[in-house]
Amino acid sequence: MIPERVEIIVIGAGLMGCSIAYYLSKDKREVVVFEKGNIASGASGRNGGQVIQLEGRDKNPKTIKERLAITKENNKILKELEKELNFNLEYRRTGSLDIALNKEEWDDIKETVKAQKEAGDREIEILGRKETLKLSPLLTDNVFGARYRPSDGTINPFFLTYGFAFSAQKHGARIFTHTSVKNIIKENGKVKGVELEDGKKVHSDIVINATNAWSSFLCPEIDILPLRQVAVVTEPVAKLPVYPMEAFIEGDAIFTTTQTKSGNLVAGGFRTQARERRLHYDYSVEPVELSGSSAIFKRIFKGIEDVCIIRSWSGTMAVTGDCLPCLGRYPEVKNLYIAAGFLNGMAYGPMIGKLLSELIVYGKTSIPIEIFSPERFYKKKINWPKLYNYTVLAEFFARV
Amino acid sequence: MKDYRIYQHPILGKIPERKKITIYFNGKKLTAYEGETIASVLYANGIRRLRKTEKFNEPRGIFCAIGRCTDCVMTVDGIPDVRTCITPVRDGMKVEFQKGLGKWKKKNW
Amino acid sequence: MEEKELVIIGGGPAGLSAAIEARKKGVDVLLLDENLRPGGQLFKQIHRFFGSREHMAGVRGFVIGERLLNEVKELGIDVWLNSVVYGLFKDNVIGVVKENKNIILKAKCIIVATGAIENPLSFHGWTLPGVMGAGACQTMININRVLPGKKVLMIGSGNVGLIVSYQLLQAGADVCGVIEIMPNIGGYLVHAAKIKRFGVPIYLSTTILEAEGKEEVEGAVICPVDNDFKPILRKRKEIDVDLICIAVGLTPLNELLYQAGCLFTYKPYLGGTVALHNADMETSVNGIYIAGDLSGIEEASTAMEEGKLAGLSVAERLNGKSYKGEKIDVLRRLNDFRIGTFGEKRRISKEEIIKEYYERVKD
Repeated sequence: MIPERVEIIVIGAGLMGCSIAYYLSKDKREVVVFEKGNIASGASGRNGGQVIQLEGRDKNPKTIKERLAITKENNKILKELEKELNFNLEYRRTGSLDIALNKEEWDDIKETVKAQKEAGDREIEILGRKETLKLSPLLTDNVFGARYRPSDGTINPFFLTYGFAFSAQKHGARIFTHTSVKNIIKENGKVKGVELEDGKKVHSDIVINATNAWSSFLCPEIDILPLRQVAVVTEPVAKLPVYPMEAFIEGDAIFTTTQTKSGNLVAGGFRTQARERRLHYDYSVEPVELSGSSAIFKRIFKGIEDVCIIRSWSGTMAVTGDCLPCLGRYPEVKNLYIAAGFLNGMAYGPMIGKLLSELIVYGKTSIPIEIFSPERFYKKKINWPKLYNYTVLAEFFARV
Repeated sequence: MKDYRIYQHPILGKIPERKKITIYFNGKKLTAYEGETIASVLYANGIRRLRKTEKFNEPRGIFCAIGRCTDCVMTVDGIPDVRTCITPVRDGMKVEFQKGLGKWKKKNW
Repeated sequence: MEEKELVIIGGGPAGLSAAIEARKKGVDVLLLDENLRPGGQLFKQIHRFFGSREHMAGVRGFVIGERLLNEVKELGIDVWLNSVVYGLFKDNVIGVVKENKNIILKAKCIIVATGAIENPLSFHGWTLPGVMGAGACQTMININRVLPGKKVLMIGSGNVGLIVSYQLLQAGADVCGVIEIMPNIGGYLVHAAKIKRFGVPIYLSTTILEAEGKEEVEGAVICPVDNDFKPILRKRKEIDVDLICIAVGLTPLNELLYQAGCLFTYKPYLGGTVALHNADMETSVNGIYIAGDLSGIEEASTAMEEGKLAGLSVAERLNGKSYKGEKIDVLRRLNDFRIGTFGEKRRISKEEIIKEYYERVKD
């Protein structure tokens, strides 16, 4: 039964929403989660489960430090999380690779690692061609080398989200799926609750928007852009030392692969056609995206021609004006919080829950989250390109 | 040697004439005829156990016989998970029992 | 991307009939089938079909199959064999793998006639080699000319169970018994009579408890059940068999329709989950039609008629003409088949589907 009044409402039962619900309910707060679909039906259930602490080629020392501060703590949490939640998460610390398939990428990777080392990152390494192939012998012989981070890994994203959801429920949180929130109710600069799709109003002291790619529908003052990506999974292949990887192919597509516990290769990020904003919520996959995926698989792994792709799907992530999430108090509305704008969820999820719960319960966080402040984008107009995909956005950010 | 082929049938008549070829099952030579499916050749020779499951090591054979259920998969010429009930035999084909999802016999996989 | 007028997915009786009908009306047809030869389940039907002369009564399934294939050839219909349709995408786009090559097609109209799959039945030992579908056994004996066993237990006394039992006898096997959990025989009594004449016992109100054997089937334990379908264990009986066939119904192969976003309904008398379609056999997705077992488990005869109906409907649409007269003939023949205890229920279910289509599908 949907209550008329509750202390805290979390909107969105993805990884962020469930993690937040868990930490708050563990702290004996009354939490209700409203989810328009199913638990983990957004990006949380459509990604490959890569836990990559510093994805991309960040060379800015400030952002490197602040991002690592959160993701390193997150990594620590992940280590003990299976025990804490009493739930199998299929978490493995395999290390991760960012591989270079041409000289341009190789130079960029070397520069990135240099910058990250200078920013204090001690574990990151550069591997030459031989060492990369030794770690992952099925990579193409054309690989130049790779960035290697040993404490990265893979996790089952469903189990992670469900683990939090079930534990939250054990601590008294209630999750209502197939319950869409239409509006956040505000009055005199303070949040009052939410209005559901059927018109029912639920009153609360605190509301948290954890709807990632859909967050701008409820909080339009912060423009968070949806970004659709396509993923495929292969039949189980021999148990290989496959690592979660990033690879930039001709600067055109990010391609991250990982191998699930049962041995399937999951990969996503193939070049898709630029499309308008509302079509980034369209989950149907186009045939050219399938053939594109096959082609890229063959460029990255040798001898993979006969392996079958058994499933394909797409999911929608979220991009902010500087590619970093928005986390914290929502400007000008007391007790409204936001945790959205994630391109990479697994390396943040648990920590986000902890941080937001600290913010709400104690008024401050154990590590600084200023670079993620929602204020930086509040009421700021971003001239997003009308038709876009990952490549178009990359060019957009390069120009900005 | 067991032979379960139906040579004479009241409606279908005599079994059609086809070219005789050889296939190998776990290294053992078997007589086959062009146009037959791998599973048919094995069953004709009384071999009904085609693979063993990954977790519990249970024997499996054909179930639907029309390529829908994948119970009949075996490793053929080094490639695992081939549906033997719909795959025709070729002279010299190597068919192997597989455990679970099998192993790719190609260089790396 | 190649653009076609009509692409038919599935070359069984429904698909072949649809292709012939549409081609006769001048439509450009491409027929796709994943097997080495078309015909679906028609070629293993070695028994004579029922119905009137018009319905090709007295003719064996595989003979009908050969007639259809000849007509397809004579009409010059384009047929791609060994071609697996792996995707039915938006805007009538089809993904096919033909002999290891990926081909993307676009079609003005699509008829999906992918048929059905046999239902499993789980009991101890059901995964042992030697336990298979009755249809699977029929494929082995009539198409592959191989006996998958010598002593058989048939589970299910519907038409498939009875007919395949008879065909096993023809193939030289010993059918030790047919078991049926209901208190009456499921199929036509004329089929039951045929096997009874050969001394095959039909055990009513009986179930199977176990398939015995270490590496393959060596025996079975059957057991009578009470009025609540509970096994009366003290009456259990061991029988010496090496082949157990399961004939407990079929389910439409809906995967491509799910992908295309078709709306479904549930009709137990037609095999379960079935896509909504109108009187023209068109689904809730514009331009996608269905026919045959996919649109509801019936028989080869109805599959052929539905194929004709879909083919005519597509021809009407693409040619901008009306073939009402011929469609009425088809509907009349379909109704002729949908009579009797089983047929009546299917006819009503079909009418309900069409009604639900018009309620739920917005133009």
